[in-house]
Amino acid sequence: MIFVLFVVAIVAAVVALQVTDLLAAAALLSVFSFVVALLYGALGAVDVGFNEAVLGAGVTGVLLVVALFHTRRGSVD
Amino acid sequence: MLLAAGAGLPLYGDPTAPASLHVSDDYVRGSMVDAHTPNIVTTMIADYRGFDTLGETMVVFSAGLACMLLLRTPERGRIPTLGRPKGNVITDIVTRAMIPVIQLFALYVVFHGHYSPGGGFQGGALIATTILLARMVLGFEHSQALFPTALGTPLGLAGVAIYAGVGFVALLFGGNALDYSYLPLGLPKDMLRNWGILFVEIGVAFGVMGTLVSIFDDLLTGGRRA
Repeated sequence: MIFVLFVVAIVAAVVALQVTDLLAAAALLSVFSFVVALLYGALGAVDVGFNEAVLGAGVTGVLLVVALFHTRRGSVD
Repeated sequence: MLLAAGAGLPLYGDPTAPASLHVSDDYVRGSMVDAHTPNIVTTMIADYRGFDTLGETMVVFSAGLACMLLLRTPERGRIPTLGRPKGNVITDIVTRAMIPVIQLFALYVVFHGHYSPGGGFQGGALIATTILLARMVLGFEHSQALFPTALGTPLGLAGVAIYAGVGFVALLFGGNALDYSYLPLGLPKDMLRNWGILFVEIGVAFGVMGTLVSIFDDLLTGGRRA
């Protein structure tokens, strides 16, 4: 189970780097944070998992989306 | 090199690992005895290592100040597409229904940090996400009634002040700073530490909530009031 979560996390991170639409990259980073929160819960650190879910998948995702509305939506590199 | 170093770490949860040998045992055994708090993590971050958490709250607030310095450039201006009310009935009604529920859960998380996973950071971040949700779905102007933008940074400062104030009160009444057993509440020693943990968790919740909303508002509006 933990192995599956690790695989999903690594796949989400690699795809977030490769994709050219920055909004999709922000969404994939939110997915990565969510999977890491599940991993923390699976390892027994529920407080840390709670924090990661709220801040990583929630607030950081929102701040990334608002920040990329200031620049262009397609990636340059 | 990372894999080679990682292979040498002790097994997860190993009671004979070097990290678990010295003070962890005292913390685990003393959490209920010293502070009447079943949640060992909360006792550790708010009571035994309370000074570190005060530093962390100050770091969160100074991150908000740094974002204020970086982002408040009036020539940047508002993003025209974000912050307008969407006018979509489904998202509007669902948001208006969900915000009080999430806020009630956030209050539960803050006040039950002693007994369930949670505490000040999580609860404060949850209330901040409700305010961010209102800003995005209900529109920037309409959500000022929920939480005005000018209240963000002062509330963050109030959170740090509450935490430092509790430590200072303990110093005034004869103990070391942040030693909650010297608070003037007239309770037995372990219940005093229980209440001290609750006060600092409330301070942390205010600090995190004010800072997160102030960062979001600075990012969205660039400091302009229009």
